[in-house]
Amino acid sequence: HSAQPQYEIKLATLAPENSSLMKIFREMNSELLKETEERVGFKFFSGFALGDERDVFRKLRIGLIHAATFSSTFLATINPDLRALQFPFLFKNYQEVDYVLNKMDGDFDQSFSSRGYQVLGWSEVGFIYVMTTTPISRVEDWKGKKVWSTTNAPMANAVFAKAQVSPVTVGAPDVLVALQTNLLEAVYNSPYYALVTQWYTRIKYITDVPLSYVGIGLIISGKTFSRLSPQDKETTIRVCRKYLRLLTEKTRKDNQQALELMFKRGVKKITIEPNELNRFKELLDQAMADVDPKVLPKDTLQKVRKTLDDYRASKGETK
Amino acid sequence: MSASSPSNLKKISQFLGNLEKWVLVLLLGFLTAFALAQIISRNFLSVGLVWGDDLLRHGVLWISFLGAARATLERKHIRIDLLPRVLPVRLSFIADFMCCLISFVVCLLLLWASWNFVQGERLAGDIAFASIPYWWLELIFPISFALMACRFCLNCISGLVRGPEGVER
Amino acid sequence: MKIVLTLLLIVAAISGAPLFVVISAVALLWFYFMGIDLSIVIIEMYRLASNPLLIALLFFAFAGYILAESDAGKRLVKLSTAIFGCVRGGLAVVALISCAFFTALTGASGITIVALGGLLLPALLEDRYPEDFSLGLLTSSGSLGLLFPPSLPMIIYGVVASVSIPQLFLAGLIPGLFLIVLLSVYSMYKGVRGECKIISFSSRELLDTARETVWEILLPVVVFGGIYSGFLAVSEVAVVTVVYVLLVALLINRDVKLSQMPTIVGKTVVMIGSIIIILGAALAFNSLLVDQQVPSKILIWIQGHVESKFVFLLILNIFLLLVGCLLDVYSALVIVAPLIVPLAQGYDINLLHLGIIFLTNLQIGYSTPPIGMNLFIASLRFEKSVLRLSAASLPFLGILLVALLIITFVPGLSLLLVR
Ligand code: NA
Ligand code: NA
Repeated sequence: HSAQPQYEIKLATLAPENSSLMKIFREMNSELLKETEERVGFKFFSGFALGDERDVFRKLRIGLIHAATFSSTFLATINPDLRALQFPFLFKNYQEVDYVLNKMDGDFDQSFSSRGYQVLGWSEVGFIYVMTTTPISRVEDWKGKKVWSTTNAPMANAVFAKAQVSPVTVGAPDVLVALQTNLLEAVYNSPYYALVTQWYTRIKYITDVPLSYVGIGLIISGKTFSRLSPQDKETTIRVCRKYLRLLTEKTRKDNQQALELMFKRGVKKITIEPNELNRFKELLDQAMADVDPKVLPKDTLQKVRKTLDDYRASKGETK
Repeated sequence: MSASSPSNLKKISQFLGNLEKWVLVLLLGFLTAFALAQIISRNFLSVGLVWGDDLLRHGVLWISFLGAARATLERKHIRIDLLPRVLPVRLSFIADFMCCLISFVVCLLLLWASWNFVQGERLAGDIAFASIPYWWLELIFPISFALMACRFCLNCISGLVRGPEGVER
Repeated sequence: MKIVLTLLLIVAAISGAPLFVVISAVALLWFYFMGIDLSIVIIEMYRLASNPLLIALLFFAFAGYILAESDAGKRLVKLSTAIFGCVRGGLAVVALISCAFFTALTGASGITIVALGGLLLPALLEDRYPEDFSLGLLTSSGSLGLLFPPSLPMIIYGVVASVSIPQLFLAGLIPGLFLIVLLSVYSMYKGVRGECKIISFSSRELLDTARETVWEILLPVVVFGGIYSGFLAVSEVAVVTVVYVLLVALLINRDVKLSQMPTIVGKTVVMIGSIIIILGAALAFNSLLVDQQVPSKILIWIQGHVESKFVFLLILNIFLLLVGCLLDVYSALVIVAPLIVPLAQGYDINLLHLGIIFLTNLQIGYSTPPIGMNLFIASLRFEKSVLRLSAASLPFLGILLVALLIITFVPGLSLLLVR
């Protein structure tokens, strides 16, 4: 770009340079520059150039960068309310996600601004699926399995404890080799992620039911945002929301295609019997009951569940 | 100040040095044992502590920064001493002193920066494991930079006391 | 102002200020003038704590120092003598192979010359090898095992470039062997021409020494087996290596006493501490460069001037050789590698291959004046001037340069085992 905008927002994202996210963000930047007459624009830092999410967040805190995208898993460490959305087996499909998010995002935005951050919009990683090197269809199958773990994930850790798996912490670049050498037997992520990281070449099975939902939030520091004029604030939020919605649609398409491609390349789908699924749900509910209410706020969870029940009732579904 | 104060200072510094050495031995011994226990329990008993790895990595951070402080004491930091090899003794003495002084000042700045960092982390209040907050684990930064600042300062003083003839070539 | 101060700091750097101080100071200075809270430097240093490879670094170094205190070096020399001593020029090959093996065992932490040099130099001289040849051989083979696991510089490259360590270890095998073979051929040629002594072969001697050395010979099996069987992560293999080495040294061979442990731990932590704090400072410095988008600016500039990958690789090698002359291996890795990695990606160079090129260059840098670690260590160990040792190493450096060119332009050497 030729001239530097008056307010150059340094935006960090973990998505790599050639990702769909960065392509859409570039378009978002051009539109924002145009709509604000070159007053507001972004300068991007993509990939892991600034470190992992915790590092990026620290840099946001001291003002080295002004805005960043974070997964809802990470954002939950700042705003535990978000964990309610990641409750295992909560959503059945993306229509339910959209409905609940539409009803609740005002609440989430509010709790972020009370902590000094403005939410510019939400997109998603999508539904997370369990991928394994051995067939796992019953609760008992999990015992002793070597499952990928990351630090600072209290909900996952509660599940690991209940299911008696043995968690293995491996850095993201080494997961592929760890799968190959049997250091890991089970990993979890979105189908698109498994495709681009080549995980799918090492896993043999993917469980049919989405385990949980992971969103992406675009957050800007309140200090930076407050410098913009009211009109620019409104424009920035509007443009960001528009492109983040485009990103969500693209991500859903990517995830669907990735899933189909993985099946085509020989990854097997594991369908879980209904009563076995109920046993899984019971186990996970028990695990969630063990989680500290400060970590997983009960009232937010109830509100999410209530919203979801209303939606399902309106569609004529039971529970 | 009495004439005995430098020797007292030396005694204190020696005592601290010994204490530090034993802390390091115990820490490395503990980390080795802990890591081994973690491997055995994961592979043979099929259970593992999720935060075990986090603990180990922070242990290594502690050992490394205490090691860096020790390297200051033993003057074993990696350096590119091109000039002192070609300069005459007197100039190289001045260069040595200036380097000590710069190191002392920079370590003070780093001490200040790490204090700010720890304060920020304390406010963020993330919990690492077993209800230990992360900022406790991050205290190694102010501790090690304080140690290094002290030692660079002592190195400056002892360099001045020895004079140009004491410069190591 | 900040430029003047930065220049002053560079003067301080070549006057012998600790490198971590200089790098941190530059970062502090520039962030201060940007109006950023200085705790950014510590935020960057704290990124070290999320890297599991530092565990591997610490434990492999620890295992290396335990081995260096034990009689493993002596046993290795005896075994290689029993195998190669009967060939004319064989003792030089013995020196090369024991050095390479020992360096690999001790993680290329720079202790090979100290541990083996005093053993091998008198032996070489006694067998009528020219003194300069012997000095050059030992000086330049002090880093010969750099490309074999679990070399510490390799792990550091893995940290900086975030590539998979097991794959990097595989990539280093063939180029590492290639270097040994080339140097061995030259040494045997010199040995045959100089009519050096030979030792008659005895299968009994071979069996005896092999039995004595069996625990050291099994060590690579532990390391490789651990990494590639899939039971253990790299950092866990490092821990198992320490435990194995401790058991062998304390209980089986009993050549290290428990009372020596504080000293060994002291040496380990000082070495690891002085490396890791530079790694931390370099993270802060790199964050400054990333913020100013320096790497992408350099990439655009270079891509505008250099079109072919071939020319880029040539320039890269010249640059790395210069860096290797001026900086020691660890500093060169942590400061330069993060800049080179995005450039190389721009030219579609495999990062594993880049790592091998990088490490081969730095291995040469170990023995180049003015900052060649091997030169200093050898100068202390053999009580010879750095100048004489530099001259003595020249023929060996020449061979290593030829090898470097081949490794650079035949990526297959590095990537054959990985694919
Ligand atoms: Na070495
Ligand atoms: Na050098």
